[in-house]
Amino acid sequence: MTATLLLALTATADGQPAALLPGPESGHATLLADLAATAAEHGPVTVLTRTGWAPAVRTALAAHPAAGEAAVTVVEVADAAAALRWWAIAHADQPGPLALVHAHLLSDEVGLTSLLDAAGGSLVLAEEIGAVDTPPPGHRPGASWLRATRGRVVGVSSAGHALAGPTHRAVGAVRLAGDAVTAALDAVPVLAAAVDETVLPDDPDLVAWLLVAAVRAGAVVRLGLVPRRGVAALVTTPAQARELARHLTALDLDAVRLAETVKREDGFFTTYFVSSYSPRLVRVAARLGLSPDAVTIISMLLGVGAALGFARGQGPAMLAGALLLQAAFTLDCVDGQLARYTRRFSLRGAWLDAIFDRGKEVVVLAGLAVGGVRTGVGDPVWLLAGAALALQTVRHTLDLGYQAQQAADVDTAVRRALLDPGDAGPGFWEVAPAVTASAATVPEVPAVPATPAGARGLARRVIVALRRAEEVAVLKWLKRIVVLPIGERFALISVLAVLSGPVLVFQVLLVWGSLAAAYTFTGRLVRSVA
Amino acid sequence: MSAAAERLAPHRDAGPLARRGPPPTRGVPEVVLLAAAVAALAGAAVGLLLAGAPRPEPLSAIVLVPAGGGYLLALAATRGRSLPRLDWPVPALLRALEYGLVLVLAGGGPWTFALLATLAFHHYDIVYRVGLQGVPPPRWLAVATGGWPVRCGLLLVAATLGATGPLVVVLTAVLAPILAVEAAVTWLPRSR
Repeated sequence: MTATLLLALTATADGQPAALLPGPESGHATLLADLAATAAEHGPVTVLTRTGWAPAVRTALAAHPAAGEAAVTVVEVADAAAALRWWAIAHADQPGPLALVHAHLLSDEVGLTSLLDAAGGSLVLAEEIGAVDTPPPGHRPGASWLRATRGRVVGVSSAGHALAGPTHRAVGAVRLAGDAVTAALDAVPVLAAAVDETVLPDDPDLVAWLLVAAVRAGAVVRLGLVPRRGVAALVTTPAQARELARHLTALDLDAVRLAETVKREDGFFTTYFVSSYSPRLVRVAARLGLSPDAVTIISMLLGVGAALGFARGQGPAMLAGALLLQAAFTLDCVDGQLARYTRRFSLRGAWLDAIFDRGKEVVVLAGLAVGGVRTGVGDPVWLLAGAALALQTVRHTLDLGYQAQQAADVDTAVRRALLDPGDAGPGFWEVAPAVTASAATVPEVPAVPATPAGARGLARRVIVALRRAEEVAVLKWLKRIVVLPIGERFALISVLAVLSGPVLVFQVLLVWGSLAAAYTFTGRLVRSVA
Repeated sequence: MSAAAERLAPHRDAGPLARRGPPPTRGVPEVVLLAAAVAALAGAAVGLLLAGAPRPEPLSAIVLVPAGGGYLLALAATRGRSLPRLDWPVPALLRALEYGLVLVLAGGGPWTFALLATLAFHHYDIVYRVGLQGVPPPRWLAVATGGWPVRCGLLLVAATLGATGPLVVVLTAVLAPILAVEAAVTWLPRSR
């Protein structure tokens, strides 16, 4: 269960609550009532609003058939300090996960569900901004800028906190869970006192304040990206509301959900030769009522079948083995996608998926070795198979170690004093904090432009160039293919097993794998020492 | 201990030799000793190639001495100093050392592969436990499976006696059921 706090604080140009703009369903429903209806399915809902707005907010909620006034509590606050203090008292009673959502958000269900669902940790709904060519506008209440590393938020802008090197724009919805809630609760007295003493501006945007508090205390907050084909945006004019609502009505939600099941960062082979059609299989599996675990087990059985085919060593059995291995790999992608599609996550499922992934590779290598022995290569072929297995495990361990090191580095780097207005990010552009004290007027604060000079300017230009190179698709994919991820590995095994035989499979796996290990190891070594 | 070293501690799989308490702050770095150990093992592999086919049994000193030297260097590394920026290669070097030792000392054959698969299962299981459950495997399991120091030590003793073949079978037959049953009991209950 997730409690939801809806923030109806932002005003439109004519001073009306933006949350009361028309919602997606029809002319008489409001953004607020629509959000409240969705959130109420997952837990208690509270609406935080400005002094004097409560009657209009209550009327809007009562007008909507799905969310009666009884289910939703409405609270008025005078300023940021009051909002913070009220929240600390209200949330202390129910220390579970909390969704904080700006009530002028118009979002499809897919994005909202990821915030409201009981599964998972802290999350912020956000969209990528790509490499920044021009300085982004300054911080605006209701829409923080973020800097993220490997999906983890490491910096947040607020009305009182600058941010260097933004990578994402928050869309006004956050889920705080576990240590993020604790960190936010701990931060309230300090933040509220700072607002009282005008050290921080009087912006009642709790989303930004609590997000800053959680991230700077070292809590892990991950990016929840706006669904690829979905809609999620903050709305401040009736025209925007109408336009987005039309877009939302036209959405095929099932298609959005299905597209979201495909991982955003994956290997080349997986992305283009499996994920391009596997969502269709996901839908079929869901209709058949198959559980993700069942798909995992079928995939493993197909892998065993592939190994039995390869164990013949030659002839049409090798082709059968290759086809079965590809089928096994496809289902290997389907199980995770099905889990995301049906939102059936379990530790057991994650473990089964992971261990059978490895298990498939092991049985296939063993099958190939048996095939090699059968075709007269002799026992040393087991040495090749063993070396291939050992090399792959060592490579995975290198990745694991480096990721742990990076995570540890990020853990130390994110921690920062709560009231420090600056940010130590590696960026060229900085989002300036809003200087105004009021969220009712939404100022476009000019950003502090970077001042590239001398060696630092040159370094920045090099980094910009490298970022641009990342955007060249061919280079990006080449870098991913070179390290021989699982999709490429299985494709290589299938093709070479049919074309030549077990010995060449092992030789290529060993040579390519060693080069890949040397390539990644050297790169990481340089980055660690530099 | 650096934050990264702390995160990676369960992946060392040092069994009864697992370090308790803070690591030494002076002396030769652990990562350097381990790299030297893996290099020594590579020397043993070259020695094996020089010995030519068929494999001499028991293995000659040209293989056993560098392999044993690598093992001793790795043992010394368990008391080595951590380099905070270079903690990440440590688990991979330990894997390379152990798997390499198995390949060099035990030679080809299905049982060698079976032992490697069992060890890989054990090591991935540590990864998944830490990653998914946030806790390392229970201490008794780490001790019962010996950790790399015990397993590699046994392999070296067996190799000098010319008995690697039987030891590989025994190790696999002992480790595989313990690991499989323990993992099933841990992971399969429906509540997970």
